[in-house]
Amino acid sequence: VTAVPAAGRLTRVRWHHPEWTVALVAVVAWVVLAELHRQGWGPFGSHAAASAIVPAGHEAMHHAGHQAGAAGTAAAAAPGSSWLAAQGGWLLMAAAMMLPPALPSVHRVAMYSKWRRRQRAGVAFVAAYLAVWGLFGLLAVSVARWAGVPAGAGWPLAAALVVAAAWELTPSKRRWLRACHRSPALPPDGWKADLGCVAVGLRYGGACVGACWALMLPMVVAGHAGLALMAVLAVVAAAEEVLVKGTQLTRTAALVLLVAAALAAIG
Amino acid sequence: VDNVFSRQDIWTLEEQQLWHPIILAYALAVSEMQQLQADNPSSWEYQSAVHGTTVNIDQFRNKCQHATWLFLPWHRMHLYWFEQIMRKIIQELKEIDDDTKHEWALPYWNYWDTREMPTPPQINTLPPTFREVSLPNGDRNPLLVPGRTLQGNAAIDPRLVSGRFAFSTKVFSQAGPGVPPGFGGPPVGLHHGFDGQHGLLERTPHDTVHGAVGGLMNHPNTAALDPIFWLHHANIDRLWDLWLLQDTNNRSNPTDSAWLTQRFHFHDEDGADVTDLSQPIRPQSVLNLDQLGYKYADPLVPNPAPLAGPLEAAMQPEPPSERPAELVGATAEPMTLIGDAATVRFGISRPAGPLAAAEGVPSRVYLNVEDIKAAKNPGLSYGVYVNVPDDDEDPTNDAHYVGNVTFFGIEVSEDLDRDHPGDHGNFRQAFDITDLYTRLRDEGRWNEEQIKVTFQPLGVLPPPGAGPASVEPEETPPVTIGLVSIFYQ
Repeated sequence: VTAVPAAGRLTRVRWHHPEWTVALVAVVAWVVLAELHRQGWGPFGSHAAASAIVPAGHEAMHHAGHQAGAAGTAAAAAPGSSWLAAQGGWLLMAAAMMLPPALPSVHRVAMYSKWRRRQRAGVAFVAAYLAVWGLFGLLAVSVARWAGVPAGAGWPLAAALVVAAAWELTPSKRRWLRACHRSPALPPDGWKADLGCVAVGLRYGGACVGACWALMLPMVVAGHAGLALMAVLAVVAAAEEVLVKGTQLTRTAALVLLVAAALAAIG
Repeated sequence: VDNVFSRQDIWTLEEQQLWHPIILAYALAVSEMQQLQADNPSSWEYQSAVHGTTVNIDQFRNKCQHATWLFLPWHRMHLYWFEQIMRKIIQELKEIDDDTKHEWALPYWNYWDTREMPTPPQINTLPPTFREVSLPNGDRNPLLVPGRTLQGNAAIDPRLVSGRFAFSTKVFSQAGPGVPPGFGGPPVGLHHGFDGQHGLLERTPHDTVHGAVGGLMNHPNTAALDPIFWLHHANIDRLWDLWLLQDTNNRSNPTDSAWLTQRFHFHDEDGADVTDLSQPIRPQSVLNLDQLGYKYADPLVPNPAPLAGPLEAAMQPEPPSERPAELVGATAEPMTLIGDAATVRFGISRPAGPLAAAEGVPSRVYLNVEDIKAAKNPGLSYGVYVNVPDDDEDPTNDAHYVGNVTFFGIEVSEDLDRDHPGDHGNFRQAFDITDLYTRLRDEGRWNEEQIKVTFQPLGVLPPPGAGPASVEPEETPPVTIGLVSIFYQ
């Protein structure tokens, strides 16, 4: 029997919650998005992401305004480099919104890895997971830009929210949610362990996109309305993923989304 | 409650008289219930559907709780209302005498032999009344159902009917990466599912006996159609009571309100939905058997001291550490079990977390068998043996036995049409092997670099003196184990 000095509270949090680093990344993502929002730019798309990565040129703003009025178009406004920026903005948003629901899975991956590999395992898992969301963003943002969906207008956003609400009510939504809660065993050492974490991240990312793709659609067209809507959608996603009775929340979630759709439609 | 009914050991009843009136009344009532329409809550089919079904799912049906700390209280409620229904039916049967009507209670099947020198009958066999073709009056015996693996004098391997590992734990419920779930199951909310971790009593003897009886009993959706189901669960219910009784100072039920107040839906003996919360529809109203109006006839508390193998002696000598358990070794490849003994070895590394600062001597050692998959429940279970010396003539040396891997419900454990709350689960089982570790370490025999784990198939033993099996046994359905790992805490 070994006498161990009582560990401090912070130490114990670090011992039992190696996912704290990922939580920190999510917090930073929110702070950055809030700051961008404060500066008057949407969370991603023509202005915000462009300015987040490329300094926001007055001309790019003007160009966006020219195409779709003052509000710009959702994902379709800025050509060239801002398309890349839109993807960057999307990833930032995915990190803010979709990392919190993934925290229990990060926790599990880390706790079932060897001690020295805990952070590394979490990073491999999260990288693969966000890559799946990135791929989804690539498709969704590209399609929105190609279709020239106007960003400031109420109706595309309202329509996206209605789609999200409808998806909440399908059995498929609940099946995908449950699929998120699967997590295969991880090999203990070496490249097999890294590969294992990536594989689990891809699999979890796939299930999570399956469950939450419709929740993220409004963000593709949200434009400036972004931050408040993001917060609502993020809370819905986190509650469904993290709470034990998540699959029983889908009706409530649908109701919340319909109210949001009505607000968006009224403008 | 003015009348406390006594649930009796079926072996005691059969010793008095093969068709003891209590058993005969049970058989007759089973027949009556089987004749009722399936949508009648008092019918045999409906009562089975309350446990598990694929059709007409509502707030009453398809509600059995497994791999959660609600396992024991939910089954106690299910049994209670079943017994009420059956008692009412028995009152109306003219073949049954008044004394029996007055005292009838569900018997239990005690298969765990705790006698120091077992004398006949061998109690880990199916009770003879469940093997008879006919009732005394010549009618078909409803207690005999086709398809069971356990037939005639065949006995269940004693390792599958023993509560020794369940009884050695003092904790009702616990959770954490790599940590076994305690006696009653992990603290997981409503869980009509089988993934995650089954509580220690749920694993053995609950799951193991389901598998060994086989046939209807081997699947959660049909198990309660076999009349032995109810006697099996009466015994599990009794073992819960005994576990508390054997050491009331150190063992207790959860006091969390989430556990106490979880509400369930049942029909009473008149087919009415029970809505009165003081009735047995929540765990907090089933904790006192006196209040429920029944007791178990045999107050014998298995004394853990003579029962215990060397493993139990020093189990859990101190409260768990505030350190998390730390993975120190695991297999790199999955393995498949197909009904033969199988051995796997893997390396152990030095602890690198807080345990390293504590001189690397763990206060607990856990073996984990994770990511278990099977398309079909193999029926048998696997005994787990750790570090049996290579030159040991007995690969199932009891001194190295740490418990059983069990599979009840595994075929539906990945069903995406039902909720799977809890620790992001796959089907897995953890074993506390601290005592084995301590013993081997003290003898200088614990290998700090490698661990050896042997899986030994355990099932139904052929009757003594039986010749070679006349029919080739069917192939054992394969089970895949994703990972075997070891945690130090």
